[in-house]
Amino acid sequence: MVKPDEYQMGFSSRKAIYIPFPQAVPCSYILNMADCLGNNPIACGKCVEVCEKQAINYDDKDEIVTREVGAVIVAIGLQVYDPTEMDEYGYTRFDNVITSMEFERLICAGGPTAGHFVRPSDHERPTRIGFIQCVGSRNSKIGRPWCSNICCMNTIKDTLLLADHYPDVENVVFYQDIRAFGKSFEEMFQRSKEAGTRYVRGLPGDIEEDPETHNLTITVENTTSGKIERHELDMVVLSVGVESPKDLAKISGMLTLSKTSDGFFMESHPKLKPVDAPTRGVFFSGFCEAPKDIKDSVCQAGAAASRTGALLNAGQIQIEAITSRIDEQACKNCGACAKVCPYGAIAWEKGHPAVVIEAACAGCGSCGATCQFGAITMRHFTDDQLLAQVRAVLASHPEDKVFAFACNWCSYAGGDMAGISRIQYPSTNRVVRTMCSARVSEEMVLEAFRCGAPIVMVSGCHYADCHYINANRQTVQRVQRLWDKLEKAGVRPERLQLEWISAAEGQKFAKVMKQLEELRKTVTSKEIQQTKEALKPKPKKAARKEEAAAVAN
Amino acid sequence: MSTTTIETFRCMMCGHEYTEEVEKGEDKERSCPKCRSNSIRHLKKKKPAKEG
Repeated sequence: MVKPDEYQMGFSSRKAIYIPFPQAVPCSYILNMADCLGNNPIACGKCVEVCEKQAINYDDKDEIVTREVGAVIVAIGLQVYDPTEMDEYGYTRFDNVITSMEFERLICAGGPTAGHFVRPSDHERPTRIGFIQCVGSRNSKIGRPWCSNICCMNTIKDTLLLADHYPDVENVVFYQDIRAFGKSFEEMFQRSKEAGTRYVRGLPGDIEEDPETHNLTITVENTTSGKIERHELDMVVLSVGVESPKDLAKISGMLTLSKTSDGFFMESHPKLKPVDAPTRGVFFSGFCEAPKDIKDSVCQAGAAASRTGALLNAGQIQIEAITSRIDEQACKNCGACAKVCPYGAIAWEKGHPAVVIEAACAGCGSCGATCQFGAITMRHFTDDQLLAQVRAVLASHPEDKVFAFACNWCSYAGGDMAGISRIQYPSTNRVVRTMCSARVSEEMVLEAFRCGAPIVMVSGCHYADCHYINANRQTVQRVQRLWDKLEKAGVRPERLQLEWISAAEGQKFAKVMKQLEELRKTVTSKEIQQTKEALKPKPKKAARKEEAAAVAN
Repeated sequence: MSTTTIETFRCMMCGHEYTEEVEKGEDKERSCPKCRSNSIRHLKKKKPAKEG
């Protein structure tokens, strides 16, 4: 039985019984039953006969082990970009176009050629090698705008390896930017240039192959000189980027983790809590959080271990005071709250009242705003407290006020920033603070209009900054429903505004307030009266029916 | 099967209406290409009226 060796990138073969790679821990053989030809329909048993230690067990299977743990470190690594879709580089058409991972195997002393670097087409040693950077990185056209972080230094290391092993080899690196910002990295880059590697600023459009010699020709615009250059090379190495592993979505679902737009896990805070997941007790290490090199991965792993140790050794955990509480009597067992909880902190079974897992609840209030039956009380931010604030703010001269709900972490702080930065904006705004914009229920917005507010704004964190994983996506859906509802009731929907304002965006807060003040001036007293009439509360049953229909749509 | 559709959006701040390619299940913060406001209303496609 002979199969391509996955570890050697298919450049050599393995059998059905093999050591996965030389540094495997434990360094012992595995039997891959899927590859075993003697296993048809039953095992031939030859390997059992010759194994003196009787280490072969055909019935051994993968098993799911259940463990109770106090913390989880997610370190699921990365996967390398497959350049097949970038056909212009001919990865699938030309033998001598290889990826940087394949290069690693070919130059490695433990590799398929025992470190003798040869090109795949004729097994001859190449003397002119090109490296193309940013293959699958920093390319919005293929939906991969992120920098993979490691490829520049990996290529520089490869050029130094080649210069060291084969001084006659000519290396050309085609790049858009060289990012050598780590300790001693710039010096390494300079050494590579001194060793004779030529760096051409510009990425090739395509690669052509000479069918006889299998040499490759690259045409590229050198953006430094402004000239078109042609390079004939023996071999081209595609410096491929990295991406989040396939299993990331599965792990994300299991641990209620969210992803950033580039597909990696989102940390609790990019600056202050870079190893913590938004779900408490979960920490990140390595690539799954963002592309990073070995040094940064080791640092993050150490930090994650420390954070875990601190959590487990404390003997007690501090839980959020602002959490939800469900009134079992009022709960109608619909499960809507469990569906919107970003933390999976609400346990619900069909036919049973929902229960809040207080240690997991972070207090965004999304559940409280979603519950149509008043069964959820958000401690310190109850419906009654917030509605009382709305009524108090709009008790006198509501027509002169711009009413805003602002989230505690970003928008409210953005308003503070505008204030401490002495940025001028109209004094007509009145802000009510909630922990998250998702806490603002439809009823609160409608009540503000009923109290005579000409303009209502709901504001929260930017998508990437949401302090409650992704609770503010509930805000978007709720505001969309409200726009429909207002329009249906004959109220101008633009009187309800939605803005994402970060704590640093004092300027934006002021700009939005100025715009809202202009909008407020267009709302007449008559319009406010009509709105009050149109939004008069309906009998409870009918209103609930309407809400349920809106949610279902 | 394509997972992207062309959807229409309206900025509730400046009134600018525009279309954008939307991928199914995408999680994207929207802002008006004209005024940068986040008050972007997704205009649902009207269902065709039933004949007869």
